[in-house]
Amino acid sequence: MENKTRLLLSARRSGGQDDRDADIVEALAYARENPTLAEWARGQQRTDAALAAKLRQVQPPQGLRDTILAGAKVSRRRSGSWFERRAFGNFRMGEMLAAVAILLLIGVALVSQYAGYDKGHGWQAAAVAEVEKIEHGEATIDHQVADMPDIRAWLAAQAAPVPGETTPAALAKLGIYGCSKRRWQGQPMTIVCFKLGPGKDVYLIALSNVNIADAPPQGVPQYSTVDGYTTVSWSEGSLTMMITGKVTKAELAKLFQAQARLELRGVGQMPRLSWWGRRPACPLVALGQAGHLSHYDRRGACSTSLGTPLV
Amino acid sequence: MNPDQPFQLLVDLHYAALYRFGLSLSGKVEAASDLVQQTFYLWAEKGHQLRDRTKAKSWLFTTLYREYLSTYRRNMKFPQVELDDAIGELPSIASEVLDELDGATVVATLAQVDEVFRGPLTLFYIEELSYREIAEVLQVPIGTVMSRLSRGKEQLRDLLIESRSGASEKVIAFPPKKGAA
Repeated sequence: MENKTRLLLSARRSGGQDDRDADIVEALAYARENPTLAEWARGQQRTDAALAAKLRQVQPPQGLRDTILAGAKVSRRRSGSWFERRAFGNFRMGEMLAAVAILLLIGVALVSQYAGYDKGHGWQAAAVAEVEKIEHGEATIDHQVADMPDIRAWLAAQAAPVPGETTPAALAKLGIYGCSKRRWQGQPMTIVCFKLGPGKDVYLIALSNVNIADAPPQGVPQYSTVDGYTTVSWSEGSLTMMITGKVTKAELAKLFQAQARLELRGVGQMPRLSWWGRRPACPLVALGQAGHLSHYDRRGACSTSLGTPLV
Repeated sequence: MNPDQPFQLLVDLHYAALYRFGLSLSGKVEAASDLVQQTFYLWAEKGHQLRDRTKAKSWLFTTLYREYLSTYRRNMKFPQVELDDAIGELPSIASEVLDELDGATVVATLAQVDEVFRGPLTLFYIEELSYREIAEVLQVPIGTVMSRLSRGKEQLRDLLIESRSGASEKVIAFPPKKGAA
């Protein structure tokens, strides 16, 4: 009890801001009955108050505040509706009609391309909802590390799906900052968080395809949008995989193009370990518009999504 | 927080504390300034998505910490510190040691504390967040925050005492005068 009390009192801010916290209240009551502990706690508070006061002496550089405000203005202009921009006033009616027609055509093309995927399958919507919670700070990342082998070990220990060989190697070059385990229809679902660039995160999802009737094809990336998130999904053996984020389709496709280049460079050379380090990645990719990926089939041999053996 | 609270007020309320947090994490003025700017830039872009506006402060600290991890510490590994291992007597620092300190020395000493303890310790001394909120920002269990605070304080105390005794030992003798016997 005394050890826990010491930890709690050590975590109590010197300004008294925490004195209504139930655990702190209990710790303070315990300390009142133990003069040695109470004296120790007073000493801690004196030290903490002095150090906090010293830290408050540190002032941000001159001009930082103005720079922040200026940066935010730029950001708002960029993210604001184009209808709000002055440029809108410079359009003439003919140009506007042409622009609307072009947008309609693009819309029709996109709808036909993503037919059946636009609203997202159940598992995709569930995964995107979990990602959204993380992005909005409404859910915590279970295991916050920047180390891939550690993440793999943690996922394995949690009996969560561990992404495998067809995961784009380009992901390994991104900053990784943690992973989480969630559940969908009783099955564990893995979410690994990556930093694609400033303010741009992407998330790798992996879950068993046991409950997924319409799982994406093996090794063939399928692009779609779900609740404003761009997604790319494929199957990898018994796992259904997805990468998603508030990014463009081109940004996601780049990850796969990088994979394809890597694989092609690897032909005829030594087997290259996949970035998850489990076993050598399949050495060749059938390059198509969709960027087909090779994968291990059930016999343990590499083959394309069309079932063509490669080794 | 009031949902209509203007951006400028949010900046005025939190940018100094965020800067101190960034400075203690990175140890560099430029990096800390970049981290704060990036954090508010992200708020301007994504802040409207935060449904619970009372969590704006936690969101800012969390975002700065994530930006720091992803930008400056890509390969950092955070060991979990067991609660029982962290319990020490933690004697207080003598008042004369504290009196001699200034803010810059505290930041410089915090920057020498092990990275795993530095985040929670700085957030604690900034006094903007409770230990529960620190756990949310760092996304670790509350027990881990308490143990890291305890261990971190121990390290900080040792470093401060060490730097003081080191400074007092650095007495440079005058060279002997030429021709002196």
